[in-house]
Amino acid sequence: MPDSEAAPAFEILEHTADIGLRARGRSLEELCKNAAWGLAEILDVARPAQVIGAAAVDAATPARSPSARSRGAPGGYAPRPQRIVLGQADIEALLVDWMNELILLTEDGKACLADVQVDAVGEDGLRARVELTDCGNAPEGTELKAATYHQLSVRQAADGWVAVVYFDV
Amino acid sequence: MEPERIDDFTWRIPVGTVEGMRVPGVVFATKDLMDKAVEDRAVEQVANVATLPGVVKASYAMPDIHWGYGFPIGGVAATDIEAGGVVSPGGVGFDISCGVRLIRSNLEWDRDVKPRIRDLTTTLGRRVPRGTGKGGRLALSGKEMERVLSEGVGFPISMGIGTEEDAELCEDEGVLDWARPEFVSNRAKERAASQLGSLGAGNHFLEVQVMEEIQDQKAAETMGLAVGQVCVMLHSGSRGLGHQVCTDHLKLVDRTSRELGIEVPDRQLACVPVEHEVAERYLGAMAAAANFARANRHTLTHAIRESFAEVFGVSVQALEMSMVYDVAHNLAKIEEYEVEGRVRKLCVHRKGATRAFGPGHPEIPDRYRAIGQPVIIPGSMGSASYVLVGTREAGVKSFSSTCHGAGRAMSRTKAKKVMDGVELVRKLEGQGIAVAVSRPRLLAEEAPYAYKDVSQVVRACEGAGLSGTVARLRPVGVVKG
Repeated sequence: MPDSEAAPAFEILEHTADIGLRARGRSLEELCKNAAWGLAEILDVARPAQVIGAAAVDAATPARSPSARSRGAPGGYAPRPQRIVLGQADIEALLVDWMNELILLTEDGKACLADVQVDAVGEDGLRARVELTDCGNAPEGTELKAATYHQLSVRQAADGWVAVVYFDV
Repeated sequence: MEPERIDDFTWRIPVGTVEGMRVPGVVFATKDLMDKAVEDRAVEQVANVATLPGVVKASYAMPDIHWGYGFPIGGVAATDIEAGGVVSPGGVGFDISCGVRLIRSNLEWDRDVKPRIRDLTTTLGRRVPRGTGKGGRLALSGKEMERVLSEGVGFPISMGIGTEEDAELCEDEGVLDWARPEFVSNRAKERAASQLGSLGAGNHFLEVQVMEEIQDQKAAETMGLAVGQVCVMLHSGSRGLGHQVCTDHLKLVDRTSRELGIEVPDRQLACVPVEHEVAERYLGAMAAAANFARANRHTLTHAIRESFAEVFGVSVQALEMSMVYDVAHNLAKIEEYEVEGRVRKLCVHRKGATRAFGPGHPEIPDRYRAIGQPVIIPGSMGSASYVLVGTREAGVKSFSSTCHGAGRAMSRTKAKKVMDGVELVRKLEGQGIAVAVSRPRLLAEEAPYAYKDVSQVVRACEGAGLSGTVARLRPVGVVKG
């Protein structure tokens, strides 16, 4: 799913009770997109393989994850587009808001994530489009309560941006 | 970081360990548990909490301490309201008033339940909504949600679910009357509209247990407990409502905290003075979420009783399935304690810790006042659980607080690498424990080996004088999301 080939687009971070995520991106938009797929991996709600007849799924769509392939229902489901607009906040708080929006949208297996496009991220907020789909097989990921501010960071690195966020399980 | 040993069960983290500490840190633990806490970075979090404005005496941690977010799990800190003391949503957490209750019965393990344990566990698994994608027992209209948030267990009781005695045997009698539902967002209310009476996932569970050993006969008799008796332990919280209340208010508190120039070493410790309007909003919403959590456990209790009645073919009343007590783990409460010779009104945060009032405290139900407040300590799945009582000494040493469980020792990723969930189910069943689990793959995250030894934690609490041990239970049936 991640676009970047060099460093992993996201890594799951260990925590004694909870779980963390480190995401990277060449731009803030790509960072937020990769963080979304990292979160989807933890929750087991990545279902890019299930979308049918959707313009959103084209050559620009990240490669399907093995977990999504194996868990996808045959035939797939029609996607449900959802626009997300988050208001002004510093970039770290914006990342937490973005993660919390996605947790809420996919909570209790009510939807899975088929595609993510982050259009703009900055001091004015975040604008994104996600394609939701039915999950088919129920997610078997770690259920998360929320993204936290614990050790939260978004920083600029030599080749782009790196973010760390921890979630309460 | 080198904690100073005070005695066999007490360690001090000196002021200066982290910049800005206003009081020392105090960790109650054996040497072994303390070493784990240092490795885990949780002790650093104890020191971080000691920087909160208005914090008094010390930033405490219970023996089940482990790395949390902001506060350590097992963290207890009190701030002096008159002196500008703060409240921090990070000191309560997302699962507001997550807690545990113990329900007893007149059934005996060998005679009554042993031959039916598989049937009973399966029935509980069917009747108790749990895990992903499951709504609760009650779907609430907008007005009903308002009543739950205001009335706590009073709302389900008014609908004929459970009894008045159930309310009496909850911390705060099942309702915080200072709740302010108007400070709970519509999103939080919508998120939980279909979740009342649902167990949830993660470390939430219910277990059928057998009373294995009594250590304090007088206290056990007072609680109606005897060796061989079958009980049910339930661990659940405020579900999506609590999570959303924390998310909403943490954001507001974080912003206000920055505007007020309050500096904290971890952003999750964002805080505002208790007397600030933003704190009033948070505490009112937190109390409403706590009421939802109590009503949730109360509603689940009804499902548990129905399951027993179905399996044993008798009425709920005939099974004498009375509550022993219900305690909360994640709350901030206004309580009075003597600090430097003067009784002060404090905002006591307990994050993964249990209130443990000693004998004679007016907030303990009459029937328990002579023995102290019951404290219910769940072990890790497959290991022992305990019933404790609060002590007067805890009122002096830890703002009347003790441990809340075994405390994690291993990350979820590592736990899953040790053994997969299906293998774990087989292992538990091999030990004679019936298991009903909706997502077996995830079960290994909560495996007993991912937790510390609960018996050592309980011994450390007793050694430190925070609580006394009453009884030990062992699991015979486990139901998980």
